[in-house]
Amino acid sequence: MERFSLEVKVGLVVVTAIALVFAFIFILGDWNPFTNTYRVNVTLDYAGGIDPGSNVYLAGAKVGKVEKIVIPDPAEAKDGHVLELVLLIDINARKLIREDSTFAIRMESLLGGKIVEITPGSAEAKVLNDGDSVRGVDPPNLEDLIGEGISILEGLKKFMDNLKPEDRERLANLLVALSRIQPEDVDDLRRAINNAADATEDLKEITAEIKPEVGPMVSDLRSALDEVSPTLAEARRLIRKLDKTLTEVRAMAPEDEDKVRAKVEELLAAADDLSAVADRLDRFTARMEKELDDVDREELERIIREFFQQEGITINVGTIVGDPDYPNPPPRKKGLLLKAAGDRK
Amino acid sequence: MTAILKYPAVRTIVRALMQILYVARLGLTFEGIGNALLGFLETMGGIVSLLVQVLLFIPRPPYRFRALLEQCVVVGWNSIPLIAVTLGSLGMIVMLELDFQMDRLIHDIRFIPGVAGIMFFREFGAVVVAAMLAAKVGAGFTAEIGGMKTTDQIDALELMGVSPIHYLVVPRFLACVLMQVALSIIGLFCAFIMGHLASIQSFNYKYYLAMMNQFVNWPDFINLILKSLALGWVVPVVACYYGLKCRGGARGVGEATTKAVVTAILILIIIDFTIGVIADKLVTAVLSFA
Repeated sequence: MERFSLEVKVGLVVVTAIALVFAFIFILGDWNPFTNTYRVNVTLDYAGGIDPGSNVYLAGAKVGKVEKIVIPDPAEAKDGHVLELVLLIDINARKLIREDSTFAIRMESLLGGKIVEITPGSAEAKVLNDGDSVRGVDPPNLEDLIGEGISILEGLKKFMDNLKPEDRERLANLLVALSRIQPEDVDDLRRAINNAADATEDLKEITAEIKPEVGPMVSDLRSALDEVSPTLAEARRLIRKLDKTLTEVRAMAPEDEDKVRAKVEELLAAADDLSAVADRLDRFTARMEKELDDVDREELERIIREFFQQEGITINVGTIVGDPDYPNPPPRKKGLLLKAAGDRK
Repeated sequence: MTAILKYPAVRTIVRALMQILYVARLGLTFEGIGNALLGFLETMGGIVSLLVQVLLFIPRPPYRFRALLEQCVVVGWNSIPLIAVTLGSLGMIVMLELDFQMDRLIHDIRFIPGVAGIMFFREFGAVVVAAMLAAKVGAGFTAEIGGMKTTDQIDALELMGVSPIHYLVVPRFLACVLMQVALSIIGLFCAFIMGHLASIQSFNYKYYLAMMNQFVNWPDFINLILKSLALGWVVPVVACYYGLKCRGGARGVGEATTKAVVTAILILIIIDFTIGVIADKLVTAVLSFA
């Protein structure tokens, strides 16, 4: 005897299938009755390949998705933006997303995939409400950066190809001579690079201070500074490598000619990398100068002066009218410019 | 030219070449090619005309709900164990293989649940289920109807004034189309669960879901349902076509069954390919229209 009738069997199959449809819609996250969300509009000039459905992260934790991308009528866009991302964010994250939060588009991983990264805002700023509009940080155009990198590499290759064998020999000799320099000199070099890195950090602070004065241009500058920090990290790494190689060379017995030569080759490569990094830094400086051209010169001078005064450093920037008024220096904090000054004493 | 042929060695080589050419011809005479083409056209025409007849017969009374339920049990209920085992194993194989290969090639296994999810939703869910049904249900249909045909039961039906298409093919057609959608969803669920169980050491449940969620969206799910609807007609129509055309006793039934299964799977794959090319555009168009 059959346990179930025909009707029951067919009914079971159909009901199971329908239940699984709802289960899958729930799993796919497009319909969830248990969470509460709200919307924030982010205005951008360049979306850098973000898609509807891309994830939104707050301080590295997933809090929502990009619901849609709107292209507004140019007449309605007050600040002249081109795109508007509508973010659907978990209501629990709302207390941290404030008016001074930055909304930036970042790469999710090296394999690609774009996300919107939100940094938590400060406690003083107002919390964003449902439907509020904020200005986002435009992502760098990756293709341009890569193109720049390729042109640098090509230049380097041309330089290496054009090098005559005797020049190569001379360079090798020079590096052997370099290997005899004292560790303190290497330390100096390292310190210089570290200082340069710290200087960018301080420069970042300056930019943060002049933000109210010079407005949206600074956000561009800031993103440029973000771009250069990997370069500096690279430079630091190279210096460390150079240092290691030099130590190894120094430790070697003079009769180990071949090993020394191999080490020298390594050193040569490291030096090449270093020069490429320096090149890139140069390029960046030129770009920054170009960008700073637009700022009112006096304004910038005043800001730099004020900044250094607060750090307790007297500096002549531009023309000073009348007696300068030096405020009491605040308690010293750790920073590179001070460190450098301390080293010199 | 003729001067060269005087040498016996050359003559031997030429003869050998001509023999090879004769063998390699594979019987491809003009007659053979023409027959094959006509046979192909006849089969395709017969299948399409049977499909059209079935579609025309569906709205006509009498409605045989009992027969439909019986066929639904044959196609749906009885196939659940087979579909669950097949799709479940497939889910595990995909996860394990992706895990191994991605780890070996790019040392990054983070995206595997998403990639596997796309494969489950867009391909396996509909196509593998349809192919399994072709093997299990389609062969049964052909053998059953072929047996009836060779014992003249079909002619008896016609004598009684009952259309064999309305009586035999329509319930099977409806049952296959409906149950194929249900089985695709159930099979997908099996692949989903078994894929997770196979990779539970690499990904916990939350991560598995989050990754799946990131790659698979509800248009993919709609794609699955539309695809199983679009593939659902193939198995019953092809199987019944070969069954109704069958002749020549038990041997003829066997041949018809083989042909039915092979043709059904071929048509499934061709349709799947066609849908793969146009599905996304279709879904996008429908969505923008809605």
